[in-house]
Amino acid sequence: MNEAALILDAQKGDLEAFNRLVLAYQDMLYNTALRIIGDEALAADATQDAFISAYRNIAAYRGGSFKGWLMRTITNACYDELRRRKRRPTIPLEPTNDEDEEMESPRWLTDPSMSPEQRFDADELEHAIQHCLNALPTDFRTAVVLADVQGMDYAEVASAASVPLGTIKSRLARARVRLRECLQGFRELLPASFRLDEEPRSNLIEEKP
Amino acid sequence: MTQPSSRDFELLSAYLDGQLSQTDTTRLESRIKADPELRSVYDGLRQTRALLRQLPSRRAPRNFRLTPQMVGIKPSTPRIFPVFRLASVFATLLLLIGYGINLSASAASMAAPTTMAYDTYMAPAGNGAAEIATQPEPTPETAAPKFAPTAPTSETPEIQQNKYAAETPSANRSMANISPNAESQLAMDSAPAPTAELPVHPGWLFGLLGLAVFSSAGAFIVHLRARQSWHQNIKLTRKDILLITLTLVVAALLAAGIYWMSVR
Repeated sequence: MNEAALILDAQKGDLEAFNRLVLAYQDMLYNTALRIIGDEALAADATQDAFISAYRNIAAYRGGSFKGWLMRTITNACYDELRRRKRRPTIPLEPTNDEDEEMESPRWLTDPSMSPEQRFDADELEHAIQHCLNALPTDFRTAVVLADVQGMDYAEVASAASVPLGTIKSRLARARVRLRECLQGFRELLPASFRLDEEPRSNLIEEKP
Repeated sequence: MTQPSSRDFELLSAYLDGQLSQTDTTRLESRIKADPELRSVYDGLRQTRALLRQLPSRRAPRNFRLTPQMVGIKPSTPRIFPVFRLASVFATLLLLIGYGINLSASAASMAAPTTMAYDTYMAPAGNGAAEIATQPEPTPETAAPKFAPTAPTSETPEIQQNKYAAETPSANRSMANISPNAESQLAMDSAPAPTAELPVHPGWLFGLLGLAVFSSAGAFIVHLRARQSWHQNIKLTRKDILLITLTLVVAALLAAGIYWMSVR
């Protein structure tokens, strides 16, 4: 059954149809929430809240990109979750210590071609990136997660974050500049091709973006 | 070489995403070529975006499927469900009304038999009993309520039988086996009794009771199946079992009550 038919059934109250949409989109929504919130448990809560809210408001969905519509829902759920966390600051803003040597190897990284050292570095790099994302203001972080992590275009990001396109352009630029500065502090973790302060080996300008 | 402004960062970022117009693109590209500082910033932004893009995508830690409870909805039931429910309610109401009428009728008749029995006890034995059984009109009208004019008729002959039997030599035997003569009298008395004595025929009450039990069982099964289809816990809850037991006990009591009224 295609997506449009499932959405139509869900709009008529068919929970089973909606749950098939949940299965199709839950990884994407959870990942977005994880990168915006920076905490696995809170991201899972936000994802669940987003799906509940999506089901309750699915009648308001009037065509267009369903993915974009869901991304707006998860963005709102993340803002709600972050507001709640601000009110009850029992969880530290930095849930992971970047100096922590006992970081567990995540189960999703099971690439057998990677040596344990490489995997460890990948974990470290991921933590470094998340650390730098967490240091950004929420609005900047949302823009950069939607555009660069999720690969959405400017119009989609603007729609999901409910702000004008021009605002997204400037938030994205400032977020990338800040991230670049932050990641300079982790240059030993970065793959050789990503060393930010190295001179480019080829003339990058000639590559079309 | 100039320090890039925030406007330059924005242009470089948009250029990275291919969001600049052709004119702006050409102008920026020539500036980047001329300015190593701008080129360095551009490379930094490009590499940052590349790092973000290669962030590992994580699987959802659990299934986020929604349950009916989460969204506060109840499982939808087939259209037959309200029919069953309505039928059971109506059958129960009619049953209770009919039962009540019969109960009050038989309660009123409880008073009558004492005088009747006394009268008939004084009357000559065998023949008198048969006489009253076949022609009951004259006596009961004074004692029985108007809506149940025939109610005492069956009471009277039965009690007569008892009295009569008690005075015969075979008093210790059961009523049915007293004598061929008495047996035929009893059969004559009790055969038409259930239909004649109660305002609402017990057959109707049994029918209503059956309908009430059947339709509530139907409603229950339909509801259970609806819950099943929603992947809910389909085991009977303690509440369900209590409800079923209570319903069966009440139904059995009502059936016993109807039977008792009809044979008395």
